[in-house]
Amino acid sequence: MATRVATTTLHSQSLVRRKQLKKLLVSGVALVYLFVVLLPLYWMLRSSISEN
Amino acid sequence: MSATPATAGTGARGRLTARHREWLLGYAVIVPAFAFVFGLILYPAVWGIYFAFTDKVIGRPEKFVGLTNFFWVLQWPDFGLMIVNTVVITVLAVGIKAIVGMTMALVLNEDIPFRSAARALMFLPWTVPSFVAGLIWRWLFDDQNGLFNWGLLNLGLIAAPIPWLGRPATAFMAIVVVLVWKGFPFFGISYLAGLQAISTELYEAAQVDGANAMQRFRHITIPGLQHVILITVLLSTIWTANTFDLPFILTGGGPGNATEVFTLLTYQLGIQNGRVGDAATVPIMAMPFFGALIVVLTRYMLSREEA
Repeated sequence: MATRVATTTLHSQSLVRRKQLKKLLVSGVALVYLFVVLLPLYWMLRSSISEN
Repeated sequence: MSATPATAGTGARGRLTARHREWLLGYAVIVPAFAFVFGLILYPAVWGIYFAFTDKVIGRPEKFVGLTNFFWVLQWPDFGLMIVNTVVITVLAVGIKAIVGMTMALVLNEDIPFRSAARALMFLPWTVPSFVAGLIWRWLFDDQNGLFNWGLLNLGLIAAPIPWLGRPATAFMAIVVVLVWKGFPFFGISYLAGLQAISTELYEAAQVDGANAMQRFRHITIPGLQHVILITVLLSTIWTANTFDLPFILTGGGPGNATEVFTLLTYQLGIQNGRVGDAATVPIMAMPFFGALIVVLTRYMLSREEA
């Protein structure tokens, strides 16, 4: 009985860790994409409001 | 019993029956669309095809020369290179756009913070005019004042500025990068719309059956998106192969002729040299390829409508 409880706990911990890892990965990719998309646009905006 | 539409317009209201009025209204409605198609697409296209068989030069009356222009263009020194460049740029750009667009859609389909804002922001490159995008990126790639060289030099990763647009390989990749940056949101948003149409129950059932993430992607997501993938890839292939503004602004076909694509050759022959007949020949030679793609796309879309 105790072994089964321990296994279930380990399994749920693994699932939680996997979910956290997935969330981290997805957020990381989203940030990279936003950076790549926004960098040229930021540069365009900056150049349009600067003197040179 | 009330009068039917067919009889309501007869008699006192005039000589035209309701059906005739409907016909007139129908024709009146399609006239603007017909004028647009005829005036802006069909008329120039027919003249273009006609000029391809003449020796038309700006300021001189044309003379029919048969297939002479076609043989002349085929013997153009860089014609082979131009075809290879067009095909390689199109295949690379469309392939990368599809992959990046797919990851974008998968990411934006997840529950991430500020998801709506992220969706709107990631769609921005698609809305930027190509000419503006070309100018921004030309500046980013500039060897003296460009952001990339500035960053790499400051990080100590390079010792001297890299002439990104001055070397064949880097200039080629620069065009692909800008095409991908400008075009991947179209794929991303299309795939995202397709993803939202796939039932979550399928994923849940697969998960219960023990399918891992990769198996779910391969056996549920890809089949669910196959129609969207086909249409986006076909449309993007036509758009990308016909791109003129980005290669023109970024490299102008250079260095040498390393990034020459068929739209640039058309521009050089027609606008710079005034050889309208030869210039018209180049896109006419590409027409069978695009025609085949359009036929496949149209048939596919019609078959989907009927199904």
